[in-house]
Amino acid sequence: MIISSRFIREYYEYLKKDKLGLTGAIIVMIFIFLAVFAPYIVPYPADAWGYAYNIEQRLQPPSLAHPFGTDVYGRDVFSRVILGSRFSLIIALGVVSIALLIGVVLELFAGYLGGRIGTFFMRITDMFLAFPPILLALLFAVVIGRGLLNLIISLSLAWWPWYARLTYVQVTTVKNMPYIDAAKIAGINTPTIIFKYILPNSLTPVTVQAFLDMGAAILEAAALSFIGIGVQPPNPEWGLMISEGWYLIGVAWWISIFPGIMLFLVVMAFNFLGDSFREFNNPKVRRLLESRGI
Amino acid sequence: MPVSLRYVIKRIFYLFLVVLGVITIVFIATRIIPAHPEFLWAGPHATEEQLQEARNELRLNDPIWVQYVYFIENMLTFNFGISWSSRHPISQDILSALPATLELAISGFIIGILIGLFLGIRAAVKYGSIIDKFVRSLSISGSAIPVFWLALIFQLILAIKLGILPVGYRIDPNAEILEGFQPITGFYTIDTLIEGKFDLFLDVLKRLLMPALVVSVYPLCLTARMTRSLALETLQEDYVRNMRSWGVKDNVIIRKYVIKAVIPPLIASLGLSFGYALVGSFLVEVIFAWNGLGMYVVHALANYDFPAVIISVMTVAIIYSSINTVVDILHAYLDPRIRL
Repeated sequence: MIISSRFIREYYEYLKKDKLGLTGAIIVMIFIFLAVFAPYIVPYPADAWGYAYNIEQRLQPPSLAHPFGTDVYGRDVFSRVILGSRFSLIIALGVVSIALLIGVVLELFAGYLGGRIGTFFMRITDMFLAFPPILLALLFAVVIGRGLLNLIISLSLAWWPWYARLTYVQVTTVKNMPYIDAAKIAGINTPTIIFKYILPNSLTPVTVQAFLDMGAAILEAAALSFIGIGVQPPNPEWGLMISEGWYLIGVAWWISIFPGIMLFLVVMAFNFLGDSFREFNNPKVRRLLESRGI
Repeated sequence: MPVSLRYVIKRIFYLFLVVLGVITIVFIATRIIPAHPEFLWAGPHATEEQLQEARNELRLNDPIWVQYVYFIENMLTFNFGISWSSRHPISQDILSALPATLELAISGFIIGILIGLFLGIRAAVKYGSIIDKFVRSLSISGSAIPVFWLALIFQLILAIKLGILPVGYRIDPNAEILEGFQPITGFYTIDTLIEGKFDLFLDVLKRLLMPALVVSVYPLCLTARMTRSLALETLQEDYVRNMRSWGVKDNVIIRKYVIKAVIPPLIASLGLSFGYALVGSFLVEVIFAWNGLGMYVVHALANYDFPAVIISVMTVAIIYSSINTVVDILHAYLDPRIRL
């Protein structure tokens, strides 16, 4: 199984040597801290949630009182950017876990049963993969509606086929292993074989991919919010904040630029972390580490 | 041996199935998920008559499979209905917006591929040098950049602060009145040349440059990353080492052998690169006031004109699948191993 205290300790040891991965991990931890405690630490909580309007303070450039300036309603951009991390974290966790659940469960059965049913499920998956990234999520978002929860649902509905394909490949490999045959001969029932033997042994590649996808999920959610179909005002989602300021770019650049910097930093940190996690799970790299006594 | 006709036919048949699949997903998304599809179709402020009209048009009183067959027939004959925000047939709207998007996406795609190829090979040759480090960090960070935000930064620096490039629009807004410019194909770079208006052509190029650079970022990073690792692999082959020991110049090795080994796997990734370019142009068009499909979709979304959005998305998905098919055939032509 992938999560155990030994595994976490080993990964920690690995991270100490991998500078990019470590940078990513630190930024991600700061990000999670901000996401959890944002409402209590930002200077202007009411501005952050978007319910305060201080028209006489509008479009102020960055200053000591407002490090990132103020937006068109006079709200403190800094507070909003910090609280925005909460939205992005919820989106990343929500999308990846729902998509993982759908993809793994569906293809676990399809892959194990194989034959016509397996092929049928793979064809359905292929249809979903025929859409360019984001656009399928856009389609679902149009149908389901706007808002944070609907955004998470539409992104997950567009995301699961990637995990499904990975799981399918892995399950078809694992189910032909001798120990599965042995379990069958021993008369163990099918659900037990699927959940106790095949599932744990098929999870690694898909979990690594899910880790790698966190940043991409945040980015796609921001893109959908940017075109107006994701998180709705007055919430401080980064993509939405960029769209609230873009037409003022010549007058008040800070409204759009700062949320973008934050978005870029967090997505990059997730990419670095995911990349190092993949390297760590790569059997070749692990063998090398073990031979060095780590 | 050229690619067998059988393989091409197989791919085209498969494309047809994928298109049917795309239409099916759109059908499921618009008819089965919502409880009352007529509200989706007629918009939020529809009167009872408009709703009734939408019900008739969608054949909601018929069994679901009749609706499905009817829907497929409509989609395959480009009978998409009328957009109530622009009051034109949706097919006509899409047809007039599509060239703009394709012009932008193709330019960004080509710029990205060329620069990515160049940077990837440079990085592999100078493995471990500053160039290599630059290319590596660029290709990791590039996929983390929100393109619509990058578009804003380009606009802020190049157009507003420095004033080197125009802020937006595909062509000088006065061109139609002052110069008598009329779009023919919808690809303005081609149209201005056909009409022999060379100064307008330069204007169009200038306006295309900034959005195309922004759109090129994702394809560029993907290509640079792939080229680098493929070229690194090739440079470690025995035959390359032998040639080096024979005194063959690095430039010759790269031009004659490395590029040849890198191209076929790279072709296989072109579909995805183009997909990135398409989505990128979708997202930045509204910032550059670029009258393409992306801007059409954003305006339709703002007006709750959902059929227009859905049909546009479907069109792009079908274009994307067709390009993937062409890429597959091309790849098979260049790399005999994958012809099955």
